[in-house]
Amino acid sequence: MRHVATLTEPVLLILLSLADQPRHGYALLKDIEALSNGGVRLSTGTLYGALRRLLEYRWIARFDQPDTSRDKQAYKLTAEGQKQLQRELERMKQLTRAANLRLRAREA
Amino acid sequence: MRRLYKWLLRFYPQDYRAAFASQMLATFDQSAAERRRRGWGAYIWFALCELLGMVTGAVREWIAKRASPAIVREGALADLGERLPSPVTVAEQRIAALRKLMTHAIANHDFAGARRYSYEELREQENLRALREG
Repeated sequence: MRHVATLTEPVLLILLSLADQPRHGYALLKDIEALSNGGVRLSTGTLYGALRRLLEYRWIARFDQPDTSRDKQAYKLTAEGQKQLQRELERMKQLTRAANLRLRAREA
Repeated sequence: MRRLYKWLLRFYPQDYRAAFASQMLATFDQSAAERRRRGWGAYIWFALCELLGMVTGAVREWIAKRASPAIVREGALADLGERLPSPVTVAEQRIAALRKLMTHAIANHDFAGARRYSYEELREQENLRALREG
């Protein structure tokens, strides 16, 4: 399994989007836009490049739904992907805590 | 725009296209329809971002193809039935290749090599029979 120190924004947003349920390409784009309050709109080239990388890392897997065409292939988070996401969120929490402490020290 | 998008897909590595091209096109179609409903400004901005994303994506994918170990890449892009030949087809192709090698070895008086290929072919024939029986 691959461990990446810091996840890129598209990768983090894809993992977050898949955290609650499997999604296909367009649903991922829409959800990422909503998650980022309209701030991030991934192009399809960026989205599928990131999905290919995540499949290579085995952080996501294909999710087959009955009666769904191949064009609407859905993806789901794997246990390893979930672990990486939790690790990244923990890292962000620590960073936020450290930043808050410094800001408070500056104000004091 | 769709035609241009399809044309740009040609610049991606073949294995990547086989795994993702139809999904990318479907996602693009859905996004394009939605942006068109939002107005021309939104659509033109979307089209520019998509074109740029396609060009940079193709460059990134070629770099990734060279950088990733083949087995990792194949593992990630596999299990899309259309791309991978069936085990029966693979066995048939191996038999045909072994026969060619055997003929070549005989023509070059490499009889030890020919025997080796013959033995391999017999094993592959058994494998093919088992695959066909179920």
